[in-house]
Amino acid sequence: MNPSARALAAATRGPVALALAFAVIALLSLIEFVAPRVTSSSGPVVLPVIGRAQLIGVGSNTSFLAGATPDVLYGVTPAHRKLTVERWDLGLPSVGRTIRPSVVTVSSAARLFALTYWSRARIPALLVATPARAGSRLQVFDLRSGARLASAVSAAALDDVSAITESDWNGAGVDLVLVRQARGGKTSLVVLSGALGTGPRLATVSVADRAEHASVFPPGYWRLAIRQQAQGRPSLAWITRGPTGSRRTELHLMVPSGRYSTFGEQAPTVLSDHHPDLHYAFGTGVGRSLVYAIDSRHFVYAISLAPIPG
Amino acid sequence: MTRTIGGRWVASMLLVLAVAYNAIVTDDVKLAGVPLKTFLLFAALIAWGAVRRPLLADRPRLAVPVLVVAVVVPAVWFLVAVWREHQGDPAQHAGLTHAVTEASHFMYLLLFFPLVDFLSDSDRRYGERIWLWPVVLTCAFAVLVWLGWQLVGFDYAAHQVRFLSGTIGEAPSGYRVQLVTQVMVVPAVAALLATVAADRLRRGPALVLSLLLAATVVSHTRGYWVGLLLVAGLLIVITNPWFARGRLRGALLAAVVTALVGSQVAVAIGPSPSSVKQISISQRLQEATELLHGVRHHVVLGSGLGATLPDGYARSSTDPWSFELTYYQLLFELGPVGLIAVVSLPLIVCWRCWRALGALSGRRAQQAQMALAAMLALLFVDSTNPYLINSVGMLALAVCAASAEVALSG
Repeated sequence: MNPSARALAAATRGPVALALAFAVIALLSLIEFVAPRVTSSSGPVVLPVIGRAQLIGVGSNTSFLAGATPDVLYGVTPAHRKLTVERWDLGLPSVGRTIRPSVVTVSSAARLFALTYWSRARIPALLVATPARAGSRLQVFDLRSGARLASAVSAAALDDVSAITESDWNGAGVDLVLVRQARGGKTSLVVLSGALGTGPRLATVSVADRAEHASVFPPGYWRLAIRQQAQGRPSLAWITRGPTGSRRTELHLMVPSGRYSTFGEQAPTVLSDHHPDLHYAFGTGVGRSLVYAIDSRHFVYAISLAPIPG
Repeated sequence: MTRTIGGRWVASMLLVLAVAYNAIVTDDVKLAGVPLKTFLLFAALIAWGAVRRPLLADRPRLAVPVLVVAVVVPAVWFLVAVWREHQGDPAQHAGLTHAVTEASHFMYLLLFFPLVDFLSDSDRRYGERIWLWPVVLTCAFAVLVWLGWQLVGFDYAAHQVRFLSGTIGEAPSGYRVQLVTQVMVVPAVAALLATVAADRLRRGPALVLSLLLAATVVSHTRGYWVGLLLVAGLLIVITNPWFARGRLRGALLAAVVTALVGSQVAVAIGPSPSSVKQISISQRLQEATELLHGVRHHVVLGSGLGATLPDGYARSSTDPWSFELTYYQLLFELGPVGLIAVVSLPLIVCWRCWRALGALSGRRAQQAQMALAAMLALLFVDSTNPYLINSVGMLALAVCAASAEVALSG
């Protein structure tokens, strides 16, 4: 037997082979244990999401103070006739910590949700809309107690509305903004005065058709999100495959300053394409504009938005 | 005679099918709301009962503790759940749906009985392949899915590939493919290493071992690595000749059990969840706090099977009764009585194998070593992961108990 064959025979003998196997497992374990993990100081963050949460916004957990750094991400999980509203702490050093969820009992037809701040006390609240067959009703719930704060029948049909938000459209107080998507793909903003849209219609704004940007964006799936703003008019986000063919999802914001016909900010993301179950929420971090995306693995990605050059 | 042989063949095939389906398929088909694997389980049990003559002869030594976990525990604590629900206990607000779901998982442990006969059959020298091959297949699928992403660019954002589901996608530690049934890799590696320790590392087992480790690498699951480290470390100790004679055997077992209990106590008295940076650890610390809070409501018999925390805290929307900290979950649901009843089976298996190791030799010694190493490792792995109270967790328990039974009863 040559020396190499002898060495192989010795190495494969039971006890030696077992010790070698242990060494290999220990080495591979070590690699896994020192590999980067999801921590409270680096994204993405894994959240203990109760269900397939729809992110609805980023804000304060107590009451909203203009200019304060938002520190809580809100998500809603519809189930049966109840909505579970989850809150995750985004403020360092406890990023991702779950704040006790609250439960809101609603009509099973409820399908549109938005984060809002109710009354002069700016109570963190959930705005819930139900479609016409359920009465086109808008309701507001206290996010801390689950109590219903207000309810009203919308002045406009809600069937073709894909997103809702509240916004101070003309500086005269909180108004209701509906993002309406017609079957042909045309998108418009309908602005109704009053927090529950019970007042007169303030504006109807056509949003540039996505076909107008076909030269910019290759075909892909499009999702519409809305950036909620405590003051001023909201922005709309087109979420699609990256124009560069990067196999990544990109976000492009249609901003009010461009009369909803041009894009003002963009964000390449770390997310690959084909994420049909992603949900988005917008917020503002320290000195920058952020978008938060959550997928069904309960990862939350904080993505920094940047102005489009030129 | 022909009918008996034919009947045994059918019973064996149904058992092979039930075990393989349970170990491989993670996204089950449902017939009238009942998972297909439940039908396969009962088909295998009925066929086994039909060909076993007499049915109650040669009762396995572990039959009583197995029946306690598989039948008595789910039956008693389902009744507790019914009583709590009748009383309007908020922990049972879901109306027993979760109680039925959770109770149904325990019955997969009944596979222990046909497995014992299958493994005992002297004609089947390689009887353990009945569960080992499905595990190898599962790991091969996991590696293929990972290669599909790495080489071809497939992106499985829905976390499901055909009948396979689990955690599939990007993570900070790398792209991970962790299938739900992969926990069976712990007894599989134990079986292979026990064989290697007794003989030598041959090409076939080396290739299979490499595949199992590759699947564990791409799973990026620390729980599996803890299990495999324990398996390899324990086998080095218990296969050593001095170990059989050594006086430290009892002390070593006590040290392992103390470490397990100590780790669970450490979770309860550990730092506050918000002070820990790693989210996975922080989440477990928070679970411990929430579950211990829930335990206070019913300190003796628990809140019943399928109980959810009354304040609404949950880890999963589909299974809100399931938590990472399995023993804390059992303490909340079954109380200390039920927790002891469930944990008694793996502890009895370990104790009997431990005591018998010095007197066993050959194939039976390997089976006892495998059962002991795998069972102790699974006790640790299950302590911080939700791997026990599901069909594959019970299959892992059944496999270890059956191997121990065959080793001890020869």
